[in-house]
Amino acid sequence: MKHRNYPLFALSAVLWPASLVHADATPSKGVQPRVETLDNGLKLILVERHEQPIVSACVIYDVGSVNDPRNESGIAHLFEHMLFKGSKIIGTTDFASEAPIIDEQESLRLKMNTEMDRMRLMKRRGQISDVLDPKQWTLEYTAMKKQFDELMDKDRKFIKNNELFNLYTSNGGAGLNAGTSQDFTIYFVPGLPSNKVELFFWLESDRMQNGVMREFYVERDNVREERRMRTESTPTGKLDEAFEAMFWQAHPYGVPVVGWPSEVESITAQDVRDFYKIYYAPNNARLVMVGDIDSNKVVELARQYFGRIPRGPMIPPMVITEEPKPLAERRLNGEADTNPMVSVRYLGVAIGHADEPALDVLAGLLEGKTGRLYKRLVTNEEAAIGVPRINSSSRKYAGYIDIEATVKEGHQPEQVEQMIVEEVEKLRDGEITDHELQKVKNQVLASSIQRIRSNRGLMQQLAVLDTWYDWHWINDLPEKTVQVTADDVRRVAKTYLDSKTRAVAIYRTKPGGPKDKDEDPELVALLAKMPTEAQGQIKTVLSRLRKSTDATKLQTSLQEMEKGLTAGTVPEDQKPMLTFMVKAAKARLAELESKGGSEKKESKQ
Amino acid sequence: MRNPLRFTLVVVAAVTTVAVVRADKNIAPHPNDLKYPTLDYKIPPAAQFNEKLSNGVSVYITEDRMLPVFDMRIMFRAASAFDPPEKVGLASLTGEELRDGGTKDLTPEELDEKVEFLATRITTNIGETSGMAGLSLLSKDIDEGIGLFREILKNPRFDETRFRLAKDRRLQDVKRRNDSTTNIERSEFSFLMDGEDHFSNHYSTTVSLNAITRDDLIAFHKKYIHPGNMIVAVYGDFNRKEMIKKLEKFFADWPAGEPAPKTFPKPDFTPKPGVYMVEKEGINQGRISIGHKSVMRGSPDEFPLIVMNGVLGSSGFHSRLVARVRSDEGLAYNTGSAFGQGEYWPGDFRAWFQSKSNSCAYATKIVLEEVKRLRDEKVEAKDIEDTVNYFVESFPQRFPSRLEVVTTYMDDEYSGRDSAYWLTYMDNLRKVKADDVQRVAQKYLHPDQLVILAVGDVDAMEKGGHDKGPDLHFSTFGPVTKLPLRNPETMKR
Repeated sequence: MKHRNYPLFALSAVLWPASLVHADATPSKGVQPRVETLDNGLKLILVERHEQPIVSACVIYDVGSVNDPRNESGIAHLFEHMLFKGSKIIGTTDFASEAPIIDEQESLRLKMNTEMDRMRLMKRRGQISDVLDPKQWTLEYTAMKKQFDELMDKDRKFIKNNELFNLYTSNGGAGLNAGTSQDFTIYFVPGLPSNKVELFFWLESDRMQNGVMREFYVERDNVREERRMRTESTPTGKLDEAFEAMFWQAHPYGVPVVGWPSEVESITAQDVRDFYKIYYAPNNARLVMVGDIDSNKVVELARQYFGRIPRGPMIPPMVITEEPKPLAERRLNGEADTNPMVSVRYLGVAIGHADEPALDVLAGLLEGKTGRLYKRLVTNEEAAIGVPRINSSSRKYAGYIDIEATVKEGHQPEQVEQMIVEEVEKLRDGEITDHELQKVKNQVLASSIQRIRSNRGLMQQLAVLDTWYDWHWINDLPEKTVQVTADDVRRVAKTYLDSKTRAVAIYRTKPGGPKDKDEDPELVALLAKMPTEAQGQIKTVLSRLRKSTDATKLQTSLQEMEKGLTAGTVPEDQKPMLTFMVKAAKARLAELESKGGSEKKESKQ
Repeated sequence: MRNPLRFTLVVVAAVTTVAVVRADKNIAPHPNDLKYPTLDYKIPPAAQFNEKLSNGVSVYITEDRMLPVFDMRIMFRAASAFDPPEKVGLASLTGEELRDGGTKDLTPEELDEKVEFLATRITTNIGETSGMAGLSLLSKDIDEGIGLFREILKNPRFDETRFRLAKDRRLQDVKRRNDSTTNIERSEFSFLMDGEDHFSNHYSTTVSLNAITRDDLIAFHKKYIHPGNMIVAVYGDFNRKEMIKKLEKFFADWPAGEPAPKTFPKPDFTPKPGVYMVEKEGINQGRISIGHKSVMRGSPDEFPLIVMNGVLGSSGFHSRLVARVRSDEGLAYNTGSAFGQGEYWPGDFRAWFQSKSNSCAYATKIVLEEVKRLRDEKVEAKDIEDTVNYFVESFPQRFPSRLEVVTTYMDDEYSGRDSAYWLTYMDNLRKVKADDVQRVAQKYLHPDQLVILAVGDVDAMEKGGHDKGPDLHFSTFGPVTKLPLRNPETMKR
């Protein structure tokens, strides 16, 4: 149910920007950065803070997964990875000799792609089951892959592994990282020593113009592992992704940042080059620095290093697709290894929309331990556990309001959903007290200050806000928020939170963990009599028997076990255990037969 | 010699070669040619911040007037180490219910209302070896905030209903311990290192949670949460002298009880080397941990060990594990290593990665090679220099504001580390040479004692089949023990 950035970094879920507040808690002039724009369009946003001798710095590009072309989801994120591989100067001992090898690799890849297309066709025909399984590759593809690996080895002679990272980190730029989101890509150093600021200009201006698609296909594999780690191997990763895909009917916000696996695995270095040219131009970027800097010197450095880079060949295209107003309720019912959860989501507004402040206040009324949902769901009805999570998200192109709760045992997610919907309905025409409204406003003001405490936090907010809309929003949103009235809240509740068109995700606990079986006292007693080393194996075998979908295979195992019992090959003291397993196998067999072997189709071989 | 044929191929991907870097005489040809002004960063000594209150409580205090904010942290000697074995979970529940359960004068609902209306953040929790309470608010609300904070810590109500709800949630949550492979890997590795008996591996169970009563919380609070067990850090927009007065008031009429022990029992356990595989169904990526026990903090080899592990796996992309497993081979997004130097008992050496099932064995082989290589080969001087610089140059980053300075000193006093540690930290690292790294690698890394833990699809991981190591299996690395998942409610198999 989470909206993911890749890599996830600590951008707050609700981007409630900030303004300075005096001791009397009225907004003052707020954050006042120095802002300059170079002739080539690069915008500089600079804040001097001299408390510690460190600087938080970033270059942020107005590009993200929403700009991924069709068939190439994941390209913005993969490209972000590539810009850590170096350039024509960084990461290589001799680029002139290396370049032809990289080009040769690419030509070969194009041929491999043609062969891959053929294999995809074979897969659609059912002739092979996995185009990525080396054992199922065609002879031609295998030969080309071998040739490709040889080219990689040849290239390695020139590669200075991770030189970009080493230059930063050996100069104190530890924590160097980047993040790709739906609608921005940020490269940042959280705390560069203030005497090393010029290094940042050298490396980031080089990154903007001289990037090389070095070790592209190795990195593509790493990105695939990143997807396995974040999405595929986590309890709810794939369901979260499915919910996003369902919620956004048309807007590319619904496409995962990390990309659909089939597409990520077929992106070529050629594809990303066009992407680089269009989006990684100074006129599509911002450079933000917060910390111990001399802003005059920084502007000078910016002119010197970035000033030499020309504007991009075209104005980067905006995303045109508008998310249509939802017409009907949409539901996702999933099972996972998780507590049961329910998420109710409504389409909201883009950042800077006149209704954003009121929607933020609306979310504030619902959230927290004194919020309406905790009181209703957790303390009054005891139907949910933990504090419900409310997210009022307004991004560059669109936004939503998401309400999520973890369901308490003994309750159905639908009951909790109903309570959430009822509380939302009350906002449409019920009473909103001055006290609760004031509480939310106090929190808005306090968080507007707490959020700008760290250099890093302020740097990220200025960068993202200006990419989405305008850095002034850091001051203006809290000011507008404190003016919101109860009528405003009721009005936006009526406009946006329409239960008839809500999107709902319900996650239920996947039945049958190991726990269920262990509860069988007979099994516990039998296992206790077995050698410790064997217990694990027995449990694993039992679990497989019980989950088998292949009746024929199960029958064979059953016969073998029964033979073991009668032929005397099994020691006397282990027979009770084996008998127990025979029983389990028979039970599963009966289950399979009663289902008419319908599950049989699932299993291959 | 250039093959002319290649040039036709080059056309296909012209961008790589055609665009030429524009030379600029004002710009250094390579970052190595840049000259930087010197930066002499020193962290101020602890004494500059430290004061003793009249009741003996130690306070680390610093003003910072940049923003109208105030922060207070209190570390106290309450820990799950003190949980009775039949009531594991008591310390942690007490920590939660301090803030959650109301105060003598305020019901939980009234307390929540005051805290949220003030827009302050108050947190309380008790971990393995320490407890921590935090207060964060705008400086205009200091007095009211400190007042609530004191009541929460001194006079908690431990409201019955909130206590029951918190227990219910934990009873539900313990069942979910096997949901994520990350959890499974963490707890299994810890069991393999320190055994089932050490308190750090005691988990609350359905039975232990049900055994905990409100009276237990009251008794636990009375015994451990009092000024005699507390160290304080304060930071923000205030006058130091006035703040000390406020802190005197904070502790007024609050008698100190018996001080709690400052040390904790060490595990009495010897890990058994070998391969351990835990089955988690439906997972297409294995989580691998490889390691053995390491040392206590304060070893004479502390700094060479930091550098050694930096070279292996903790200096970001500079480290060898990332270079080989990730950058060269594309086997894992996340890989690295830690050489834990434990505060109270020996830490763990652990290298890790996550990779698709069929390449886990191949990547394991690479990790084992790199561990061995640190013993067999002297690290190049340039590598040592880069690694040392990684730690030295990023030192100021540890202290993004003075809040981190005072909380670090508070933490050091709690765990008994010499407050001079940070003053000499950078010099101690700079002294480390390649010979030291090889010497400590030979002394502290033991390839023959490694425990290899693999969590995921056991069959697929065991089968291997990566195209560069098709015949590599986990049994190559040692005897394989297959372990079923634990029952999450008992944490027994």
